[in-house]
Amino acid sequence: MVNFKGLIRFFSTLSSLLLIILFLIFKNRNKEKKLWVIFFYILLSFLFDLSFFTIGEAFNIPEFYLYVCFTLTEYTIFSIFFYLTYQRKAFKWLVVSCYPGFLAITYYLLANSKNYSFDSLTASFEGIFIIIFSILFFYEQLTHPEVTFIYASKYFWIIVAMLIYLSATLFLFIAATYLSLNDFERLSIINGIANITKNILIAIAFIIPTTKLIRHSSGKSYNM
Amino acid sequence: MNFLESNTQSGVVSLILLGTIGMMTLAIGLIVFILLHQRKVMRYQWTLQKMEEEQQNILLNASIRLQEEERQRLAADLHDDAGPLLATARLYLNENLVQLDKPTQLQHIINAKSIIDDTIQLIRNISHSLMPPTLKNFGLESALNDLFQKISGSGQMKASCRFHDYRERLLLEQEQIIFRVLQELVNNILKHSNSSFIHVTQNTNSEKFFIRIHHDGSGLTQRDFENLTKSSGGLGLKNIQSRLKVLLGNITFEKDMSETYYKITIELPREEETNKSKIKM
Repeated sequence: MVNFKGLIRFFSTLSSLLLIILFLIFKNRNKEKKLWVIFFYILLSFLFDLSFFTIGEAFNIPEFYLYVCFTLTEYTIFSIFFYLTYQRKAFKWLVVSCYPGFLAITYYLLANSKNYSFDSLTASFEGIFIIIFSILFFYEQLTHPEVTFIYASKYFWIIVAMLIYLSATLFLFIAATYLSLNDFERLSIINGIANITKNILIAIAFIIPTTKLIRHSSGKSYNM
Repeated sequence: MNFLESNTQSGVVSLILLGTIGMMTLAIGLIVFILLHQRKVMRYQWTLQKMEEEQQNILLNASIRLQEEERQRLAADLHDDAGPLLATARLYLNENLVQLDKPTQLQHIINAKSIIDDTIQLIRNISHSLMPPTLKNFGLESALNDLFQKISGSGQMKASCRFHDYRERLLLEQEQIIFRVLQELVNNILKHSNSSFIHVTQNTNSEKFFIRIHHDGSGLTQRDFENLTKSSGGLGLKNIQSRLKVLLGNITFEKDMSETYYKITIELPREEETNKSKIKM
């Protein structure tokens, strides 16, 4: 009999697969580079979910390194997405300047790993950075809106997805080091539910039609 | 030891659960706040846009009404003045003229000629009031001097003007608009202010072209001007505003620091800027 945890994990992986199919169905609505970045992330995430245990066992790689590898890839993809989404140069520079910091944290974790099973440090920092980037996106949209209704923007839904997912898993990732393997496995339901929610929100982004951007111009001409 | 460890473990689990609920609440709260705030901003923007549209409508209506009034005045001038004059001339030159004796014929022709001369003068005056030839041929400064000579000639008010930096004339369309605005302002001063003088000065700096009117009567402040342009009255002022809008110009009304004079300042962007506003007359 399939337990609840297994069911959540199954639906989590399935939702990623459905998202890939959805993107391909609505490909004409999702031509922008930024959306392809997200599609690439979903694809990687799906492949990672499928092959996590297989790769580890086949190549005798500890789970910890696979987690680190995935977190680094995930952070890189999210950073690229935010870099492409921001209008303000200052925010773009913030994303760029945070990246070496994140690499340094990853290097520190790898250099000082004490037989951890989960990359709590990098995952927590990833969560904090991406939550900050999400808040900055909302701030930018409030001060210089790109679309008339923010919820008509595909990027709004993608960033809401990121924010919900990373907010839900932040405490789990921070405290993961202090949990027993059993408790961690038990609480990973939170990760599964957050992942399903994230995929649903990204699905909305893929389905809704592209909206026209507001052009901020001050030039006026009058005819007599 | 095991008891302590299990207590710590359950504490961490509770912390994670509480932290997750807290973070989720914050995240959802943030999203709801953004959606509500954006809705509020949009509503505010709609209100502003509506107000701007209403203001545009008021200005448009004012300019249409003014145009209609101008047409009526023109029609009245032609009908009431030129019409009777020409009718009288026609009476002198009717078919019975050939049956009259020579001296009476001559007298009738002289009378008709005089009436036709008067009519020509009248039509010229109407034409000049529509488009002063001095403005077209010699520019704003001369047209304004002409206007002020006529006002000073009445002996009731001293009117003068001084252009400090007008070596290069503005485009004729721009001069016409400025002249109409000045005509309207001077007309208002003559009608309402009881002032003893009007003095107009012109100046420029690197970015702007200024025309300033001083007078010592009772005048308007910026607040009065804004109130009048928003009200149903103040047709002439609305028309001034809409004319200046065409030139991307601005008008301000203020009382001099000494509280003795009223100042009206017209600011226009200089040529390069103004030319960007596509004027089609």
